[in-house]
Amino acid sequence: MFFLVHNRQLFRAAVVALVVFLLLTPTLSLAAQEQEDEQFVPTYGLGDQMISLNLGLFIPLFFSGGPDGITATNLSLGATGHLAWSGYLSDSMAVGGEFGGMFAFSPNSNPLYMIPLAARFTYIIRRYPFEFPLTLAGGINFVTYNESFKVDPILIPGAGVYWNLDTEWAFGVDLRYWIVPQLYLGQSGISSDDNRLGNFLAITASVLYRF
Amino acid sequence: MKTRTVLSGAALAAVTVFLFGCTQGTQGIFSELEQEEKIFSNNLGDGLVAELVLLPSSGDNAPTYVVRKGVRLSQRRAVQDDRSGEGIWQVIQPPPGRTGAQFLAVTTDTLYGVYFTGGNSLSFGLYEYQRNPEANAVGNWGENLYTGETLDQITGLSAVDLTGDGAAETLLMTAYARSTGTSGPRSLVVNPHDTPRTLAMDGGGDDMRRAVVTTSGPAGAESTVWIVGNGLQYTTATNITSGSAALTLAPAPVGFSDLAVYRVGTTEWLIATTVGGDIYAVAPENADDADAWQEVGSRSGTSFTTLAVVSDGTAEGLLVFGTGATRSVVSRGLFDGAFSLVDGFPSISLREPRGNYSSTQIRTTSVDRFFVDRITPADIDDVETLRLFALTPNLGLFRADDYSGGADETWISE
Repeated sequence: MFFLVHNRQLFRAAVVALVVFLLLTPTLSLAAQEQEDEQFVPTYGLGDQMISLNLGLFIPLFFSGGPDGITATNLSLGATGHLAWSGYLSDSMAVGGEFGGMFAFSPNSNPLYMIPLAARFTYIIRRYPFEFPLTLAGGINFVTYNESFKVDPILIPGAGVYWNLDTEWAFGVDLRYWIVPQLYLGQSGISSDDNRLGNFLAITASVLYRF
Repeated sequence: MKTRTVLSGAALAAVTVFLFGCTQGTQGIFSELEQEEKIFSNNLGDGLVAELVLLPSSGDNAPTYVVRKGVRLSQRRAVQDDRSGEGIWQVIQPPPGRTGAQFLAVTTDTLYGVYFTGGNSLSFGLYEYQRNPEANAVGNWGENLYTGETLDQITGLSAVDLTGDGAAETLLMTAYARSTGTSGPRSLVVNPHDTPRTLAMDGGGDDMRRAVVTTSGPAGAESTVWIVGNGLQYTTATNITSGSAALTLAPAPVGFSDLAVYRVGTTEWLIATTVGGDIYAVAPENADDADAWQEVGSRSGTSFTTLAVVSDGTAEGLLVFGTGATRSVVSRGLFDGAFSLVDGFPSISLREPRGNYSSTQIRTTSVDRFFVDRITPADIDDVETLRLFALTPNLGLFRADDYSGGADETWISE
């Protein structure tokens, strides 16, 4: 009788243990897989490419270099966007080009348009799933306002924070500083007194695709 | 290696030429933005502003500007002792049954308007504006005053001062009756609101843009009335008031566009603009001699549409010149013209206005007409000031107070 009872208790214990094991097995298996996933960090290299689209706010900061020193731009808050392409040189470096534009309004609602066309270099600091691209773009900037038109050089240093959804897609925010030296060397009868250094800030949301 | 160096140098040179060669404008863009200030904008809005007149004060009514914007009239107070609160533009309704306004003129203290009725049977009427006894409120129009010969088209209305007392007392109207042809020769109707008399015009006649008066004229005339249209016609003041002789076509310069009178003491000069960018001057008594018109200023690549005398009375004064586009020339904005006498004959040097002109939209459009409001001070010790208006075909009305061609001029959109 004791034996029977004892055996019945052992049997019950074995069944419970089996059920618990069966329930825990998938969980343990998933945990092990997740641990394995965390260790996977995508890398990119020569031959990989990326394109990104940015849209956001354009903040006119100030003009400098004129007879009055640092002065207000008198421009409204504007909008900006650009399309960029880069090819990876290594996991942390890429080179490419970008094409963009901005507009903002003067006190009398006259629009100022600037359209930069630039080459860009990107250095990427990675902390998966985040990455922090540092970019430097340089090129030419088409500026038009009222009846005036000018082609200026432009330099755009910038930094960003991106979150990688997967190996292809990433989303982020870029902060870029537009430096636009507007130099007149007497052409069209415009005095060099009108030389100014334009300082602007662009804050944009970005979607990035790698292929 | 040498080839690569040459190519690099050429590329650098090309970029430099591209960067610094592609420049269009008269001022640095960032520099212009740096100086731009918001201009006050009243409620008149954009569009064609074709005429502006000033109604003097009357009863409780302050001096009042009346504009024709398209086919609609609007009025606003022209407060001359307080320029900060001049009020908004108020629409003047047309006379009953009339569609739109066509011309305006003020004699002494009365505003006259030509209104038309659209549709298949176009008709016209001349009306007197009845000011509202309530201060600065909008008035209304009386009955049609024109009772003369049936007219198919009224082509101009102006008022002139023949007595020299500073107030225009004579109303002039150009018109044609189609019964005499497909469009009919234009004729000049004197005082069409009262007892109309019709004077024939030289050739096929002309539409009147404005009429100006000089104290002398061709053939020893003591006082002459000049009718400015596509051409320039004239007659004596005596003929206007009582005669019947036809007007005479003056040999105005080719491309003639407008005329003003500049006075230096008792001497007068007719100053004329052309669509070819030239400015001519002539003494009124010699204006019937084509060789007497002499070029006194010019601007290449510019088409002048109109002009106005801002300050005269001295040998060194100021005029303004409006520009516009022709089939071959696109010019915009206006110019200051500094008047001076060189060997006793006028000379005019043109320059772009200063102040905020370059950052206002007036520089981007044509100027069809000016209006100068000379503001006589209430106190005899104060100097006279003036207010210059520029009428544009698409951007409404602009004004500049105390305009003297200085660097602190401020253009304001009405």
